[in-house]
Amino acid sequence: MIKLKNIVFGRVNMEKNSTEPAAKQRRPFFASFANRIGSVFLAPDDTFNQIVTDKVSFWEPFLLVVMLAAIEGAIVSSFAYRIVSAITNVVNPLTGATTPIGLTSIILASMVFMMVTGTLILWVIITGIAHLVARYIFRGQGSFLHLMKLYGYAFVPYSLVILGTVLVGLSWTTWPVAAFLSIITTFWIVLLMAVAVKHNYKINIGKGFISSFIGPMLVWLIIVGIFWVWMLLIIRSFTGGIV
Amino acid sequence: MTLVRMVIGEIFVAILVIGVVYAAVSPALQPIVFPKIEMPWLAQGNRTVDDYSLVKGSNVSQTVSYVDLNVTVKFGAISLAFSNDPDLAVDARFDRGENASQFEANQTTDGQVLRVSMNGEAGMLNLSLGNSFQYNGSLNLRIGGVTMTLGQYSNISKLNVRVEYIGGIILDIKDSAAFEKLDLSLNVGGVQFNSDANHILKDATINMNIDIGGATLGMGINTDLIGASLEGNVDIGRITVNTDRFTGTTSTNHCSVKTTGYDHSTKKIDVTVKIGLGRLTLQPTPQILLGPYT
Repeated sequence: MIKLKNIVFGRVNMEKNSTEPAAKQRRPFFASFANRIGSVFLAPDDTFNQIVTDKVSFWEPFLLVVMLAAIEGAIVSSFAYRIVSAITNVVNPLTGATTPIGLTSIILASMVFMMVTGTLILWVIITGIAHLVARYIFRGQGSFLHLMKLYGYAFVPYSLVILGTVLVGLSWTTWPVAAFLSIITTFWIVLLMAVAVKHNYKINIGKGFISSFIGPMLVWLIIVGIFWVWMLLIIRSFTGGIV
Repeated sequence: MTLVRMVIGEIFVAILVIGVVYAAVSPALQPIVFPKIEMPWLAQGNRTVDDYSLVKGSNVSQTVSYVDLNVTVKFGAISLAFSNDPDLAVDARFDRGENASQFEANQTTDGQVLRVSMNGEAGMLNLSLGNSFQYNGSLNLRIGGVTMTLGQYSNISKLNVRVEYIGGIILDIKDSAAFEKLDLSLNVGGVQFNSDANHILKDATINMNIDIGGATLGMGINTDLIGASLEGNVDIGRITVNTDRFTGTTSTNHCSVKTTGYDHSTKKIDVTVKIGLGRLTLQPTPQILLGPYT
């Protein structure tokens, strides 16, 4: 009876095991994508593990990062356009000047392009720093490309910043909400990055945090320090050493 | 749990879509509108011109030979020129915005002297003076530009021109100009002095005092008939003498130069320039002036 039961359950399980991948394959892309994004928000630990195991294509996180940056850039450009239009509406009648529409479009498109390019460069830099720290300081085992993928998904909470920007655009009075969403997003992204490093290099979360946050921050502080020393030297050269 | 994840994922996509839609439609649906800046002295909206005219035999006594002008305009421009009209004492046309304050003018006669006081808030004042009176007085402007053209019909004894805050003064001396003393002062801005006169009728003195700004002297005068001298002092800045028709001493902050035949000239123009922060340039030709006041 027990054997029979096992066989029956075994069959059932076998059936389950055989139908589940098929169901997964049949699941439309959007549902699968939405589920993955939702999982990044709710269960990043399991999701990142799954992404590392499933070897998800690089294009998905790449397009995610590009989309997030482009949409935020587009909203900021629309702000800029509204402000420039308001200023030119006041100033042009006084000066007799006209604002070339082509030039305005180029400037706004450049803003979006710079936002996307800047984000992609930042993505590579912070991944690189985290990779160097996790790999060579904490002796973790993992690939740079996989970490880039995970970091791409870690940018997903940035959608809250987009929401905040839209709210501010609709009404300036919502700036506290936007500020709150930005703070939440910052903490969330830092947390997701630490989890990503942890899974990619099989190190503990503390080392993951140091690799993903403290490392880039130290590099940033060094760059800022060098910049200010350089500025000080320039100022001193002008003032003859008084400052 | 899967459903919740799906919903959150869909909310994420919805936020991105909202972002795209908002970026696309907000410039059209939510334009920012700044309050319109009204500058009444510029040609905006409806304009009106206040006319004020003093003519010998009409509203000026026949005994008057001297005119003492006291003109004040807060914002805008003053343009001064002389006309070939022996009866005209003063013709003032004040071009202002319809809503700007009206131009005020009054006159009193004291023996041979006609005292004229004019006051404008914001606008462009065109002053036309006649050729049979001798003029004294002052032109005061808070912000804006003063243009003076002194030609064959001019006859000025002493005239103070002051730009209180910021602006510019353009002085153009033509053939047969007759003036004795001009004091030009301004706080921030520039003075442009041009002359291509072949001869002048009186010895003349021009004093310029500029706190911050520059002065450019374009001396294209006939140095055989007119002797010119320049005493320049610049506290912080530079003096540039770009002509070999003037000789004397020149340094970065001081110059004392005269035309070569100065001592033998029948008529003389002596120019003194004092600049706090800025630049003084002496050049051999008048500068070509472009813009609304030329």
